[in-house]
Amino acid sequence: MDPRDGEREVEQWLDAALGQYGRVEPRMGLESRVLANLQSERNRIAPKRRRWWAVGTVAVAAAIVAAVWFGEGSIPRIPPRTVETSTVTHRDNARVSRPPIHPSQVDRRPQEPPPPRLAKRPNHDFAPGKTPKLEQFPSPSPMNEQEKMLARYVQEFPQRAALVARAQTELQKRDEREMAAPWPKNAESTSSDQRE
Amino acid sequence: MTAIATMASEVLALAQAEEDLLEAAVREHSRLVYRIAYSVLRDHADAEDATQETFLRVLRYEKKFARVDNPKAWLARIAWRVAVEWRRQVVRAGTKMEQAGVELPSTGAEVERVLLEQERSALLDRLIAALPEQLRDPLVLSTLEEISPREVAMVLGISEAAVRSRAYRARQILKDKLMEKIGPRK
Repeated sequence: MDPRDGEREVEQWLDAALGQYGRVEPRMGLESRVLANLQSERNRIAPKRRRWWAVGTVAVAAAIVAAVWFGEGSIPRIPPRTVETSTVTHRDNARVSRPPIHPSQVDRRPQEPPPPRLAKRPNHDFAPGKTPKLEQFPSPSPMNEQEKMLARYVQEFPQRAALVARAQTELQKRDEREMAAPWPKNAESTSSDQRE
Repeated sequence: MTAIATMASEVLALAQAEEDLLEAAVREHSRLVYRIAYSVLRDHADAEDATQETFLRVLRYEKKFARVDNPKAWLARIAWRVAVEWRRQVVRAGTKMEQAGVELPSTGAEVERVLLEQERSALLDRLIAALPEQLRDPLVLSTLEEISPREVAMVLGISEAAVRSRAYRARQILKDKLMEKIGPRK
Protein backbone atom coordinates (compact mmCIF):
# COMPACT_ATOMS: atom_id res chain seq x y z
CA MET A 1 0.00 0.00 0.00
CA ASP A 2 1.28 3.41 -0.93
CA PRO A 3 2.31 5.38 2.22
CA ARG A 4 0.63 8.46 0.72
CA ASP A 5 -2.63 6.56 0.53
CA GLY A 6 -2.20 5.47 4.13
CA GLU A 7 -1.57 9.05 5.21
CA ARG A 8 -4.60 10.22 3.32
CA GLU A 9 -6.68 7.50 4.92
CA VAL A 10 -5.55 8.47 8.42
CA GLU A 11 -6.28 12.08 7.59
CA GLN A 12 -9.79 11.22 6.46
CA TRP A 13 -10.41 9.16 9.54
CA LEU A 14 -9.11 12.00 11.73
CA ASP A 15 -11.43 14.47 10.02
CA ALA A 16 -14.38 12.19 10.57
CA ALA A 17 -13.40 11.46 14.17
CA LEU A 18 -12.95 15.16 14.98
CA GLY A 19 -16.30 15.87 13.38
CA GLN A 20 -17.88 13.25 15.64
CA TYR A 21 -15.89 14.57 18.58
CA GLY A 22 -17.91 17.76 18.73
CA ARG A 23 -21.22 16.30 17.54
CA VAL A 24 -22.35 14.88 20.83
CA GLU A 25 -26.01 15.05 21.77
CA PRO A 26 -27.26 15.72 25.27
CA ARG A 27 -29.79 13.52 26.97
CA MET A 28 -33.40 14.23 26.11
CA GLY A 29 -35.01 17.14 27.90
CA LEU A 30 -31.88 19.12 28.71
CA GLU A 31 -33.64 22.44 28.03
CA SER A 32 -36.54 21.68 30.33
CA ARG A 33 -34.21 20.51 33.07
CA VAL A 34 -32.16 23.70 32.78
CA LEU A 35 -35.29 25.87 32.75
CA ALA A 36 -36.72 24.05 35.76
CA ASN A 37 -33.44 24.51 37.61
CA LEU A 38 -33.41 28.21 36.74
CA GLN A 39 -36.99 28.59 37.90
CA SER A 40 -36.27 26.94 41.23
CA GLU A 41 -33.23 29.18 41.64
CA ARG A 42 -35.38 32.21 40.84
CA ASN A 43 -37.96 31.15 43.39
CA ARG A 44 -35.19 30.77 45.93
CA ILE A 45 -33.74 34.23 45.37
CA ALA A 46 -37.00 36.07 44.60
CA PRO A 47 -38.04 36.63 48.25
CA LYS A 48 -34.61 38.10 48.98
CA ARG A 49 -34.88 40.42 45.99
CA ARG A 50 -38.41 41.43 46.92
CA ARG A 51 -37.28 42.18 50.45
CA TRP A 52 -34.45 44.33 49.16
CA TRP A 53 -36.81 46.11 46.80
CA ALA A 54 -39.25 46.80 49.62
CA VAL A 55 -36.47 48.10 51.83
CA GLY A 56 -35.12 50.22 49.00
CA THR A 57 -38.53 51.64 48.14
CA VAL A 58 -39.26 52.53 51.76
CA ALA A 59 -35.82 54.12 52.08
CA VAL A 60 -36.31 56.21 48.94
CA ALA A 61 -39.78 57.31 50.09
CA ALA A 62 -38.42 58.22 53.52
CA ALA A 63 -35.58 60.17 51.94
CA ILE A 64 -38.02 62.12 49.75
CA VAL A 65 -40.26 62.92 52.71
CA ALA A 66 -37.27 63.97 54.82
CA ALA A 67 -35.93 66.15 52.00
CA VAL A 68 -39.30 67.88 51.60
CA TRP A 69 -39.68 68.29 55.37
CA PHE A 70 -36.24 69.76 56.00
CA GLY A 71 -36.33 71.70 52.75
CA GLU A 72 -39.43 73.56 53.90
CA GLY A 73 -37.96 74.17 57.34
CA SER A 74 -34.77 75.69 55.98
CA ILE A 75 -36.51 78.38 53.86
CA PRO A 76 -35.83 81.71 55.64
CA ARG A 77 -38.84 83.73 56.73
CA ILE A 78 -38.60 87.14 55.09
CA PRO A 79 -40.26 90.16 56.76
CA PRO A 80 -43.25 91.63 54.93
CA ARG A 81 -42.64 94.00 52.05
CA THR A 82 -44.15 96.99 53.85
CA VAL A 83 -40.90 97.39 55.79
CA GLU A 84 -39.01 98.44 52.66
CA THR A 85 -39.08 102.15 51.93
CA SER A 86 -38.06 104.24 49.01
CA THR A 87 -34.93 105.46 50.79
CA VAL A 88 -31.62 103.91 49.79
CA THR A 89 -30.58 101.17 52.21
CA HIS A 90 -27.34 99.22 52.68
CA ARG A 91 -28.79 96.46 50.63
CA ASP A 92 -29.41 98.83 47.76
CA ASN A 93 -25.89 100.22 48.05
CA ALA A 94 -24.47 96.73 47.80
CA ARG A 95 -26.63 96.08 44.80
CA VAL A 96 -25.41 99.23 43.10
CA SER A 97 -21.71 98.46 43.70
CA ARG A 98 -21.97 94.94 42.27
CA PRO A 99 -20.62 94.36 38.75
CA PRO A 100 -23.13 93.70 36.00
CA ILE A 101 -24.39 90.14 36.06
CA HIS A 102 -24.26 88.00 32.97
CA PRO A 103 -27.65 86.55 31.97
CA SER A 104 -26.35 83.02 32.58
CA GLN A 105 -25.45 83.99 36.16
CA VAL A 106 -28.85 85.31 37.02
CA ASP A 107 -29.97 84.04 40.38
CA ARG A 108 -32.58 81.42 39.69
CA ARG A 109 -33.50 80.75 43.26
CA PRO A 110 -37.19 80.41 43.82
CA GLN A 111 -38.81 83.70 44.64
CA GLU A 112 -39.85 84.33 48.18
CA PRO A 113 -43.25 82.93 48.90
CA PRO A 114 -46.17 85.35 49.03
CA PRO A 115 -47.34 86.37 52.49
CA PRO A 116 -49.93 84.04 53.88
CA ARG A 117 -53.45 85.05 53.17
CA LEU A 118 -55.81 85.47 56.01
CA ALA A 119 -58.85 83.38 55.81
CA LYS A 120 -61.91 85.31 54.83
CA ARG A 121 -64.40 85.36 57.63
CA PRO A 122 -67.96 86.59 57.23
CA ASN A 123 -68.53 89.97 58.89
CA HIS A 124 -71.80 89.53 60.71
CA ASP A 125 -71.95 93.19 61.85
CA PHE A 126 -72.56 94.40 58.32
CA ALA A 127 -74.66 91.62 57.16
CA PRO A 128 -77.10 93.04 54.58
CA GLY A 129 -80.04 91.08 55.84
CA LYS A 130 -80.13 92.72 59.27
CA THR A 131 -80.60 96.45 58.39
CA PRO A 132 -83.98 97.54 57.00
CA LYS A 133 -84.12 98.51 53.36
CA LEU A 134 -84.73 102.32 53.03
CA GLU A 135 -86.77 104.21 50.39
CA GLN A 136 -84.34 107.12 50.04
CA PHE A 137 -80.53 107.32 50.10
CA PRO A 138 -79.14 108.97 52.13
CA SER A 139 -81.79 108.38 54.69
CA PRO A 140 -83.61 111.54 55.74
CA SER A 141 -82.69 112.89 59.14
CA PRO A 142 -84.36 115.72 61.18
CA MET A 143 -83.12 119.28 60.38
CA ASN A 144 -80.63 120.94 62.70
CA GLU A 145 -80.96 124.48 64.02
CA GLN A 146 -79.19 126.25 61.11
CA GLU A 147 -81.25 124.41 58.53
CA LYS A 148 -84.43 125.34 60.36
CA MET A 149 -83.41 129.05 60.38
CA LEU A 150 -82.61 128.90 56.67
CA ALA A 151 -85.96 127.33 55.96
CA ARG A 152 -87.73 130.10 57.91
CA TYR A 153 -85.79 132.79 56.04
CA VAL A 154 -86.74 131.32 52.66
CA GLN A 155 -90.37 131.15 53.66
CA GLU A 156 -90.41 134.75 54.89
CA PHE A 157 -88.25 136.38 52.13
CA PRO A 158 -88.43 134.15 49.08
CA GLN A 159 -87.25 136.78 46.51
CA ARG A 160 -84.27 137.85 48.55
CA ALA A 161 -83.36 134.22 49.22
CA ALA A 162 -83.56 133.49 45.46
CA LEU A 163 -81.20 136.41 44.69
CA VAL A 164 -78.73 135.25 47.33
CA ALA A 165 -78.88 131.70 46.04
CA ARG A 166 -78.23 132.87 42.43
CA ALA A 167 -75.30 135.01 43.55
CA GLN A 168 -73.83 132.10 45.50
CA THR A 169 -74.21 129.82 42.46
CA GLU A 170 -72.47 132.28 40.13
CA LEU A 171 -69.65 132.72 42.59
CA GLN A 172 -69.20 129.00 42.88
CA LYS A 173 -69.18 128.60 39.06
CA ARG A 174 -66.53 131.31 38.71
CA ASP A 175 -64.33 129.63 41.28
CA GLU A 176 -64.67 126.35 39.42
CA ARG A 177 -63.72 128.02 36.11
CA GLU A 178 -60.63 129.57 37.68
CA MET A 179 -59.58 126.27 39.15
CA ALA A 180 -60.06 124.47 35.82
CA ALA A 181 -57.92 127.05 33.88
CA PRO A 182 -54.20 126.05 33.20
CA TRP A 183 -51.87 127.12 35.99
CA PRO A 184 -49.16 129.63 34.86
CA LYS A 185 -45.49 128.49 35.14
CA ASN A 186 -44.32 131.41 37.23
CA ALA A 187 -47.50 131.55 39.23
CA GLU A 188 -45.72 130.53 42.40
CA SER A 189 -42.95 133.13 42.07
CA THR A 190 -45.34 135.88 41.06
CA SER A 191 -47.67 135.08 43.85
CA SER A 192 -44.79 135.13 46.32
CA ASP A 193 -43.54 138.44 44.79
CA GLN A 194 -46.97 139.90 45.09
CA ARG A 195 -47.11 138.85 48.70
CA GLU A 196 -43.85 140.59 49.34
CA MET B 1 -45.93 57.97 45.40
CA THR B 2 -47.19 57.65 41.83
CA ALA B 3 -43.65 58.05 40.56
CA ILE B 4 -42.46 55.27 42.85
CA ALA B 5 -45.25 52.97 41.66
CA THR B 6 -44.37 53.73 38.03
CA MET B 7 -40.72 53.02 38.73
CA ALA B 8 -41.58 49.73 40.42
CA SER B 9 -43.75 48.64 37.49
CA GLU B 10 -40.97 49.52 35.05
CA VAL B 11 -38.49 47.49 37.09
CA LEU B 12 -40.86 44.54 37.11
CA ALA B 13 -41.31 44.78 33.35
CA LEU B 14 -37.55 44.91 32.92
CA ALA B 15 -37.11 41.85 35.12
CA GLN B 16 -39.72 40.00 33.07
CA ALA B 17 -37.92 40.93 29.86
CA GLU B 18 -34.63 39.66 31.28
CA GLU B 19 -36.33 36.43 32.31
CA ASP B 20 -37.70 35.95 28.81
CA LEU B 21 -34.30 36.66 27.32
CA LEU B 22 -32.65 34.03 29.48
CA GLU B 23 -35.33 31.50 28.63
CA ALA B 24 -34.79 32.15 24.94
CA ALA B 25 -31.06 31.73 25.42
CA VAL B 26 -31.59 28.37 27.11
CA ARG B 27 -33.78 27.18 24.26
CA GLU B 28 -31.37 28.41 21.61
CA HIS B 29 -27.93 27.70 23.04
CA SER B 30 -28.24 24.93 25.62
CA ARG B 31 -26.95 22.35 23.14
CA LEU B 32 -23.90 24.47 22.32
CA VAL B 33 -23.18 24.94 26.02
CA TYR B 34 -23.52 21.23 26.56
CA ARG B 35 -21.18 20.42 23.68
CA ILE B 36 -18.56 22.84 24.91
CA ALA B 37 -18.76 21.29 28.36
CA TYR B 38 -18.59 17.80 26.93
CA SER B 39 -15.60 18.66 24.74
CA VAL B 40 -13.71 19.57 27.88
CA LEU B 41 -15.06 17.01 30.34
CA ARG B 42 -15.78 14.02 28.07
CA ASP B 43 -18.53 12.88 30.40
CA HIS B 44 -22.25 13.29 29.91
CA ALA B 45 -23.22 13.75 33.54
CA ASP B 46 -20.44 16.24 34.18
CA ALA B 47 -21.27 18.07 30.97
CA GLU B 48 -24.89 18.40 32.02
CA ASP B 49 -23.93 19.62 35.47
CA ALA B 50 -21.59 22.14 33.87
CA THR B 51 -24.42 23.25 31.58
CA GLN B 52 -26.69 23.83 34.57
CA GLU B 53 -23.95 25.74 36.35
CA THR B 54 -23.35 27.87 33.25
CA PHE B 55 -26.95 29.02 33.11
CA LEU B 56 -27.06 29.62 36.85
CA ARG B 57 -24.11 31.96 36.42
CA VAL B 58 -25.90 33.70 33.59
CA LEU B 59 -28.90 34.11 35.90
CA ARG B 60 -26.65 35.81 38.43
CA TYR B 61 -25.44 38.23 35.74
CA GLU B 62 -28.81 38.50 34.01
CA LYS B 63 -28.66 42.29 33.69
CA LYS B 64 -25.29 42.11 31.99
CA PHE B 65 -26.53 39.35 29.70
CA ALA B 66 -29.30 41.64 28.45
CA ARG B 67 -26.69 44.14 27.30
CA VAL B 68 -24.09 41.93 25.58
CA ASP B 69 -23.70 42.24 21.84
CA ASN B 70 -23.07 38.57 21.08
CA PRO B 71 -24.94 36.42 23.60
CA LYS B 72 -23.80 33.19 21.96
CA ALA B 73 -20.11 33.99 22.29
CA TRP B 74 -20.66 35.29 25.81
CA LEU B 75 -22.43 32.08 26.80
CA ALA B 76 -19.75 29.97 25.11
CA ARG B 77 -17.06 31.77 27.08
CA ILE B 78 -18.86 31.16 30.38
CA ALA B 79 -19.47 27.52 29.46
CA TRP B 80 -15.83 27.11 28.62
CA ARG B 81 -14.67 28.58 31.92
CA VAL B 82 -17.16 26.52 33.92
CA ALA B 83 -16.08 23.34 32.15
CA VAL B 84 -12.39 24.05 32.67
CA GLU B 85 -13.01 24.73 36.38
CA TRP B 86 -15.07 21.55 36.58
CA ARG B 87 -12.30 19.55 34.96
CA ARG B 88 -9.79 20.89 37.49
CA GLN B 89 -12.08 19.84 40.33
CA VAL B 90 -12.54 16.39 38.81
CA VAL B 91 -8.81 15.92 38.35
CA ARG B 92 -8.16 17.16 41.90
CA ALA B 93 -10.75 14.75 43.28
CA GLY B 94 -9.11 11.91 41.34
CA THR B 95 -12.34 10.96 39.62
CA LYS B 96 -11.82 8.85 36.52
CA MET B 97 -13.30 10.38 33.41
CA GLU B 98 -15.01 7.55 31.60
CA GLN B 99 -16.25 7.38 28.10
CA ALA B 100 -19.91 6.62 27.70
CA GLY B 101 -20.60 3.02 26.89
CA VAL B 102 -21.37 1.92 23.33
CA GLU B 103 -23.94 -0.70 22.57
CA LEU B 104 -22.41 -3.60 20.66
CA PRO B 105 -24.15 -5.07 17.63
CA SER B 106 -25.03 -8.77 17.55
CA THR B 107 -23.06 -9.96 14.47
CA GLY B 108 -19.37 -10.87 14.80
CA ALA B 109 -17.99 -8.73 11.96
CA GLU B 110 -19.85 -5.73 13.17
CA VAL B 111 -18.62 -6.29 16.70
CA GLU B 112 -15.02 -6.30 15.49
CA ARG B 113 -15.50 -3.10 13.50
CA VAL B 114 -17.22 -1.29 16.36
CA LEU B 115 -14.57 -2.40 18.83
CA LEU B 116 -11.85 -1.17 16.47
CA GLU B 117 -13.61 2.18 16.08
CA GLN B 118 -14.08 2.43 19.81
CA GLU B 119 -10.41 1.68 20.36
CA ARG B 120 -9.33 4.30 17.89
CA SER B 121 -11.72 6.83 19.36
CA ALA B 122 -10.34 6.17 22.82
CA LEU B 123 -6.85 6.56 21.41
CA LEU B 124 -7.83 9.85 19.79
CA ASP B 125 -9.30 11.05 23.10
CA ARG B 126 -6.05 10.22 24.86
CA LEU B 127 -4.00 11.95 22.19
CA ILE B 128 -6.16 15.05 22.36
CA ALA B 129 -5.93 15.05 26.16
CA ALA B 130 -2.17 14.79 25.87
CA LEU B 131 -1.91 17.85 23.65
CA PRO B 132 -0.59 21.07 25.19
CA GLU B 133 -3.47 23.19 26.43
CA GLN B 134 -2.66 26.03 24.04
CA LEU B 135 -3.18 23.71 21.08
CA ARG B 136 -5.88 21.49 22.53
CA ASP B 137 -8.39 24.23 23.36
CA PRO B 138 -8.56 25.78 19.86
CA LEU B 139 -8.77 22.32 18.29
CA VAL B 140 -11.55 21.11 20.57
CA LEU B 141 -13.62 24.24 20.14
CA SER B 142 -13.07 24.21 16.38
CA THR B 143 -14.73 20.80 16.20
CA LEU B 144 -18.01 22.36 17.34
CA GLU B 145 -19.98 23.27 14.27
CA GLU B 146 -22.12 25.86 16.08
CA ILE B 147 -19.34 28.35 16.65
CA SER B 148 -17.17 30.07 14.09
CA PRO B 149 -13.39 30.55 14.44
CA ARG B 150 -14.09 34.18 15.31
CA GLU B 151 -16.27 33.13 18.23
CA VAL B 152 -13.68 30.56 19.30
CA ALA B 153 -11.19 33.41 19.34
CA MET B 154 -13.57 35.42 21.54
CA VAL B 155 -14.00 32.50 23.92
CA LEU B 156 -10.27 31.89 24.28
CA GLY B 157 -9.28 35.54 24.17
CA ILE B 158 -6.88 35.13 21.27
CA SER B 159 -6.91 36.23 17.65
CA GLU B 160 -8.76 34.36 14.95
CA ALA B 161 -5.52 33.72 13.10
CA ALA B 162 -4.03 32.19 16.23
CA VAL B 163 -7.05 29.91 16.53
CA ARG B 164 -6.63 28.69 12.97
CA SER B 165 -2.87 28.15 13.20
CA ARG B 166 -3.04 26.41 16.58
CA ALA B 167 -5.87 24.14 15.48
CA TYR B 168 -3.89 23.26 12.37
CA ARG B 169 -0.76 22.47 14.38
CA ALA B 170 -2.76 20.34 16.82
CA ARG B 171 -4.29 18.45 13.96
CA GLN B 172 -0.86 17.80 12.43
CA ILE B 173 0.42 16.45 15.73
CA LEU B 174 -2.60 14.16 16.06
CA LYS B 175 -2.12 12.88 12.53
CA ASP B 176 1.56 12.10 13.15
CA LYS B 177 0.78 10.31 16.42
CA LEU B 178 -1.99 8.29 14.81
CA MET B 179 0.32 7.29 11.97
CA GLU B 180 2.85 6.14 14.52
CA LYS B 181 0.36 4.19 16.64
CA ILE B 182 -1.97 2.58 14.19
CA GLY B 183 -0.61 3.27 10.75
CA PRO B 184 -2.84 3.26 7.70
CA ARG B 185 -6.00 1.22 7.92
CA LYS B 186 -5.66 -2.22 6.39
